[in-house]
Amino acid sequence: MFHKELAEMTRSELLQAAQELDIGVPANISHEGLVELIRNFAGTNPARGRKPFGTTRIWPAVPAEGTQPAMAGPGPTPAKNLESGYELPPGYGDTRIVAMVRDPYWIHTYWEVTEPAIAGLRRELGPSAWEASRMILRVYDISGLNAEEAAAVSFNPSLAARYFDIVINPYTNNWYIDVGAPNRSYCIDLGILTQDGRFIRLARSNPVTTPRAGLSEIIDEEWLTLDEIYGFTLRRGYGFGQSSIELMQPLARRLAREMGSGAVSSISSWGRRPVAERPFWLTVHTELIVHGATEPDARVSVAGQEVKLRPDGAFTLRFALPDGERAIPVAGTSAHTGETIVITPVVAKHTH
Amino acid sequence: MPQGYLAMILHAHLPYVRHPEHSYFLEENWLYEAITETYIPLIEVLEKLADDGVPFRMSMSITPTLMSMFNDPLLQDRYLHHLDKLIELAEREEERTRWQPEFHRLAHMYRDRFSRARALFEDRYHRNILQAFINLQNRGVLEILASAATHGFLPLMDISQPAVRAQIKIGVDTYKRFVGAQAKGFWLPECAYHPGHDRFLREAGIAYFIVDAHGIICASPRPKYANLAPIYCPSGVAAFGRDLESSKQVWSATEGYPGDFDYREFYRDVGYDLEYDYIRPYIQPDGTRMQTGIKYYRITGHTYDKQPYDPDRAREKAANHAGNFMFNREKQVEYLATVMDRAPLVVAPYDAELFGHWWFEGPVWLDFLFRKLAYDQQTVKAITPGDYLALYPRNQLSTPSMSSWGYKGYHEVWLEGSNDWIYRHLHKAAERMAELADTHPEATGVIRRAIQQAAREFLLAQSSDWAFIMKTGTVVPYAQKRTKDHLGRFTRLYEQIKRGAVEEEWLREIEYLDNIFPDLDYSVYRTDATAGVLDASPEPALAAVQSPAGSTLSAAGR
Repeated sequence: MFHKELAEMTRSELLQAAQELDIGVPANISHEGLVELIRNFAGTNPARGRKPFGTTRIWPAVPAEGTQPAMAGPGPTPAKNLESGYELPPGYGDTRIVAMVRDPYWIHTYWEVTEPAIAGLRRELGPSAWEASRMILRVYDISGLNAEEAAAVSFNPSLAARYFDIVINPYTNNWYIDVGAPNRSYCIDLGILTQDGRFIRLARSNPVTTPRAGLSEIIDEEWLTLDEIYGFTLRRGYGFGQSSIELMQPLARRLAREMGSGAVSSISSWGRRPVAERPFWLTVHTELIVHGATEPDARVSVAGQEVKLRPDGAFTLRFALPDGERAIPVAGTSAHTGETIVITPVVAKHTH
Repeated sequence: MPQGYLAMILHAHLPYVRHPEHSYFLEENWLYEAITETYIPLIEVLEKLADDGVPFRMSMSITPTLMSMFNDPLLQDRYLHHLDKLIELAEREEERTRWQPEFHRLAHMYRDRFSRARALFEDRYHRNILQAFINLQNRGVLEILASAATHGFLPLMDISQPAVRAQIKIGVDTYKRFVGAQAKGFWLPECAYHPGHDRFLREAGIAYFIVDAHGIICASPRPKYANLAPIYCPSGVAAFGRDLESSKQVWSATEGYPGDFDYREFYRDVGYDLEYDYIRPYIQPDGTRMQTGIKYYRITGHTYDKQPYDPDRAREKAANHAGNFMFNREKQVEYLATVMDRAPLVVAPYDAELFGHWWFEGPVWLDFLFRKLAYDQQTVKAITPGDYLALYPRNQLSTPSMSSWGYKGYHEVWLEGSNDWIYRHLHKAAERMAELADTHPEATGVIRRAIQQAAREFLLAQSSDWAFIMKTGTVVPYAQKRTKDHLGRFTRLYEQIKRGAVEEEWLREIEYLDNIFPDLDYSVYRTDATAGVLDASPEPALAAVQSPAGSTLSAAGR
């Protein structure tokens, strides 16, 4: 059931899935409604599960499809310019899990499990044991372990400094994990936890190390730290108070500042206007169009400025028209006779 | 002898926006606007400073995608066409505003600016303004930094070391091809550093790169001078840390100079304001209004009732702000010099496009700043990171901390709900690209071309810009489409290469569409060669901790 598309499931399969996920289901819900309900749950609700230690806050990833921020303002709408494009496959036929560091406290992971891998396990466990099992992420803190030890944590979790499980529902394929501790190394097993507590690994992630969130505890004797510089810089740069530099930690919590390439000037936000609410408004502008025609080779000036004629001898001028009264002398001079005709419209505009 | 130094660094970057398949493509305007409003005004300021003999040094990264677009004949033609329309609009505006002196002089200012831009672009630099920056480097005032091939966000591709290596190596090779020299400095896209990636920088001959302040402050062992001096990574490449105070004065949307009420308002543009039929020829062909670049108002205040822009007043304000910026650097350096046993270095990097495009007065501010630094004080001197390394070749050995200059300091902008779906596809493509390089070491003919094109598509899909746009919420469909198109073309190529049956006609088509990096050498993706680079240097953290005796590197010894 892990990889069957929700929409393809029968009603009873869906109801069973909803039950497994502890979702309340209205009695007369439609098939589509049920799919929607489960999909939303997969996208928004925290997974439940055993937490072997500490408090592991988890918020799940937004599903890949169907969510995108609304476009702000009268920005460009390029989609119309584009030919119909490629779509990406839902998976690549690998059973695989990958971890990435987001910041000192959070890791993101995504995974894929193939149908044959699931079918094999299901056969191995038998249908009833399978149904009672859960898919989990097992996160190991492998800081300080060598490669061999790290490889062995799946079979001997006590090698890890700590580990914890996250129960994942079958309809997600990625997760944000609050590992809570900077400057530690982690790897993640994706697998099945049976009812009797047996863990069967499906895939192992790459190891990742979260960055330090404060100053290094390692001091080089030859380059003894100048604490005054740190005090000065951290106070002025991050707004720390007059505390000693050891108290100016962790830095990472101070970084949510209004700076950085994204904050002000990235090119990709060009054309965006502020989205602040504007109260009811009205603007009125007036413009004056002066147009006329003469012989194509004649010379024409309007209010003293020479005008370029169109090939047929016509001309059009357009002026923003402020309040007041204006005379607009239009003079045309023949190229052949030198004769000049002057016509002077007078325009008055007033705003009340 | 100055008491300290200031390294002003502008990072110029645009993603590769080139759409020969359409006669008009909105996103290409990113390039055209940036040329008119940022790159040409910067060239004018820097050339004038150099002509006047003002002693100054500045650094600027120009990314390979931007260099490639500067050199592209199609985009050069289209820019000229764009600029000619703009000049025409400015001329009509001069006429239309004849009875409105407060706008008339602005219309004149724009016509003058656009005409000057045309002369510089067409007559002086024969349509390739990269040459202007190269000339400034040759004149000794500018240090141009290289950057990653397509501005890939390197920490989030760490799972594939060949992919990281290729971004860096192709970036440095592209610099060599266009600039004709080996790059000294390297701009990490988004200042995003992952420990160990410096080994690929060293392989590419790079001497230094820039990280955000906490990249150095949280480095290990703890750096003696915090971010006021560079450190050497165990690979021997130097890392400089951004200064926060100077950044904030310019960057901050609330406290920064660009928000001053006398400065030009970015969002009020005649493209939105003027009568529809009149402005119609100068907006999108389908009639959707857009920014034209002609803007008549100043920020005025937190109000919709904007006042006309006054260039003289704004210029005066820019001079004041330059003076204020310099004063603060003097105070900063004066204090630091009392506690440091060497001259401190304040590193101040900014997105180049902030200057001129968003902050209209930015180039003038820069002009005032360099003149004031040269003549009004002796405490702080403008310098490049490369020069500073030459002055102080002996530096502490330490490993910078993983970091970026994005919101909250790490990777959250590029890895969150709106964009995290791209990574499983990018990582798969990275794996397949390495596989192609490993299994086809000697490919020739159409297979070779197909593998090269696969690398181009993969690289274009990796631009950090796409994830950024998905996050910030403008033109999201375009960013999604670019990601899917490049990955889609990559996958189709991969499958055809695997089958040994490449559709040559289609290949020719996409070679024409995505024509960046013409002489790309895909062997950079080979896993054995990548492993060779990694084996050649010690594990960064271990080396720094275990050998305090060898904890100093000097540039001469590298």
